[in-house]
Amino acid sequence: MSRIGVIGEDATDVETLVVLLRRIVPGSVGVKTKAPPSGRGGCAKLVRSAPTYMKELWASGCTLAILLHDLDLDSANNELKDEKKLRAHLSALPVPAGLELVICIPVEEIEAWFWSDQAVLDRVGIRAKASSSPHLIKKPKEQLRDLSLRTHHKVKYATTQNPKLAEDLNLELCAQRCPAFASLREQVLRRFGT
Amino acid sequence: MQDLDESAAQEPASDRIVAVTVEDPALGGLLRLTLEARRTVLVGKNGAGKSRLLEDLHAAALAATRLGTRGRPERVKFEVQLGGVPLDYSYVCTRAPERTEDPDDRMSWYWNERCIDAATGRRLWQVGEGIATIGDDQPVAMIPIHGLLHLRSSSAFTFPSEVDPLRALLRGVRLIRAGVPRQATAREPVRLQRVRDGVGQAGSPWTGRGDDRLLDVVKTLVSWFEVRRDQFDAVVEVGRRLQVLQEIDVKLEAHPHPPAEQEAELFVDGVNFGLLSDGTQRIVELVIKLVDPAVTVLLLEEPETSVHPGLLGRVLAELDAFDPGRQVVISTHSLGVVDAAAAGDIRVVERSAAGVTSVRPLNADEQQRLRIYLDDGLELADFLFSGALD
Repeated sequence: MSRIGVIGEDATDVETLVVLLRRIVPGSVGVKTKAPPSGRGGCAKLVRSAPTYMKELWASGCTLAILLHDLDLDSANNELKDEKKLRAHLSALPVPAGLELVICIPVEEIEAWFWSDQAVLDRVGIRAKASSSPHLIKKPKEQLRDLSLRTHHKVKYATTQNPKLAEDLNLELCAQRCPAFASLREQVLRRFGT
Repeated sequence: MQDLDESAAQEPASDRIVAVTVEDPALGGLLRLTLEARRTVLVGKNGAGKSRLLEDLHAAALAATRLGTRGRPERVKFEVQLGGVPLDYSYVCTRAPERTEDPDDRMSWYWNERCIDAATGRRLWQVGEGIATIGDDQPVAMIPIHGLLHLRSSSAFTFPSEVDPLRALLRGVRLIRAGVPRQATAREPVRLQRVRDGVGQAGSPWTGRGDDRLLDVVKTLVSWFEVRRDQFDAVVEVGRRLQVLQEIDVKLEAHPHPPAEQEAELFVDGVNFGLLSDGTQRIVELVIKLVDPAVTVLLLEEPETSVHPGLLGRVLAELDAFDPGRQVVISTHSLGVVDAAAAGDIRVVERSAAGVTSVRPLNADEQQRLRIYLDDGLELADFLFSGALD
């Protein structure tokens, strides 16, 4: 069986992407995941560990590795970081021969994808409209949480729900509205799609 | 970070438990845990069965050596090394159907045990339904609940030479549970009383009110202060090395109200033990077990609880160095504890969807993948907790 490796900075993000991958290429690929242990340095640790993770994934039979890295805001000016620079930095990581690396950079973070689909927002239970340009939403995760608090007077949304929300996400709609997801889906289908 | 093969190079304990097999329905049936000569580290997700396994090991050792401590598990095998000779000691505790339904009625249980030389297959002794057979000798009648390890060596017949060291090995198994010793919401001073001619719980002359774990610590240290000053001083010395305390003092006074005869209070750096921080209380509890020469196997649940990472490193170093002849089994979620271990020390505890717990060392494929991490300068915990075992 073909295998895809998923590397992310956070176990919840990785689980969410796994749900989406299994929906994109149902049944035909196995998935192995890597994320630094929590408390071990987040993004910086991910970049340091990624070459090792890729070696291990390749040794485990993976032919494709997806490196999931949020674009995030620059804390100095509250603006998005430079995506081209980040992509160039990640592309320079050593990749084992025989393993193809796909870099996926959700803008600003993976929760932005949920903002593309009204059904998912309804499932979270917040009074908000889906966006045709989720990559323009600042702090999409915090917005989900804050709106959830305002609607229900208590926090009903937590990132631990993300894998469940990914089961309901309209993949076609998300691909139309989220360039990072569209690119990821296209590359995975090119490689493993029927 | 230790090399993959370092655990194999550790000096083996002279008498030790090599493996224990327990039958526990809560773990899904039969489970065998192999122990390293010095240190074994259990890792696994919450709910996998790590705590239950340690509790079973402790309960089994207690049941084998102390009367009246029946409880789970009812079927156990210990594979041990005594003086370099491999022995298999197993027991089964079953209810005598013709007896009463009262589980506290000792006579309602049959104790069956067997000890064989694992190298030769020679039976050393066997006890079944009240009959003991030692070697090839004639059977001897016994009280059905008794096994040889429950009896003193001065009984009516000659015990095999293996009985005393085996009893000492299993009697020396101690468990320090997860969590902190204090259970009460508020901190309160701990004070003990001694009643003239009185005997408190577990034979101690001291009694007190409060959390059992806190009382156990204070009673032990007060007793050692009185009758085993060398062990008391060793606790102070280790506490200083760990940088958690400078002095432990015991204040003994005549009790104003008979029949209590005396009152005792334990102070660490001038503070009553009951008022100390949870972490300090836990460390002192651990140090007592470290210093106690009767402890042969220390089972330690989550030593990282309430302990600063720097202090945890010193505690682990002390566990390693203090008594090379002692086995330590640790269950943990801590990256620091795992990083301090060798790959060969690790036992992965997993629970299947069907509710069956399994425990195993890293397999050959995992060891090979681990090498990738070590070669790149990452740590054992980076491998174990990054999803490598999923």
